[in-house]
Amino acid sequence: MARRGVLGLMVGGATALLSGCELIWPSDRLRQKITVEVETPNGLRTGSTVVETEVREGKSWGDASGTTFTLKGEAAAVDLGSGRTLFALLRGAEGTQGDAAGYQTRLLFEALRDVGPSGPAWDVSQMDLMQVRAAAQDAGVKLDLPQRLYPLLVTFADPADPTSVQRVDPANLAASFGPGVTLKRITVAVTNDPVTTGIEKRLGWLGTQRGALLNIPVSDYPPPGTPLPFAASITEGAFSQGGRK
Amino acid sequence: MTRNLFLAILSMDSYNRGYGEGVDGLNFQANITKLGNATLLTDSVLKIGTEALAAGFYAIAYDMTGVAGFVSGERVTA
Repeated sequence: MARRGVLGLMVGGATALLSGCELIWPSDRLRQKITVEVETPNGLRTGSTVVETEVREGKSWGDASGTTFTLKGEAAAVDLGSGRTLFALLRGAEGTQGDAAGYQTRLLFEALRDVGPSGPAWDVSQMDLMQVRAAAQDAGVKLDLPQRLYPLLVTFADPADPTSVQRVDPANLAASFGPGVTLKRITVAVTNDPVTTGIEKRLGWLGTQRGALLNIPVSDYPPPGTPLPFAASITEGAFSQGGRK
Repeated sequence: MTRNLFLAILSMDSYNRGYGEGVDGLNFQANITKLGNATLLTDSVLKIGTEALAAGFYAIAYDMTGVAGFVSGERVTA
């Protein structure tokens, strides 16, 4: 057989095999819109973001589950006036929620299980992650998040200085933004809207930031057991993922 | 507990923690979270960002002070 014919067969065979992988090990892609609503003395302010997560199940090997999560999207920003902005990051506020991809991928799953059988996707208590995500898409779910599932909230004393990042307490926005500023709610909703982009316009340093916003060499760490500054625990991945070239 | 056994435990810990964690809720706080007497100092996401994750690279650095079989202040990357 001519070389081109052999190569063609090999390429075709590989393509067929990869397509088969999609059938054997399914994946799902879901977009969700996270909206933050803040009451201020000047009225309600909102900010939202659309992120896309993909769960791909694969062959497990030993203790490796074979399941991978990918995330594309950016933090939500709420303009509160006087140059202050509240950011709802891609990662969860609670340390037990894993990294940003894990948190975003599981967000609807956790929120629906929290609501229980009376929720918009009915009883998901016996469903696995992929099943719940599919049910959420079918039902066009929109939910208020309980506080334990809130994203990490931050602001910057100086948006041009990444090391000036400050954690915001969702129960006390007034401490960060002044009297009369309170968090009304944070919602998550299934959507087909395009993934949000453009946060680099607000945070000019984001495009070149790699790693912790405050980089402390390990040789300069305080003794083990001493907390590091907050900015040393936040990375660029909490603000934007999946969009870099 | 031997040195090699603890090194093996660190490998499993790094594999199942943080990015693509194999055990739910196994995040960590840099310089605070401990595994036995070992302290999780930092990881590759904090040091070099999330882009390395796309290549499947992830590692954690541990301080081994107080762990039998290791010198005080010794560091291990897994």
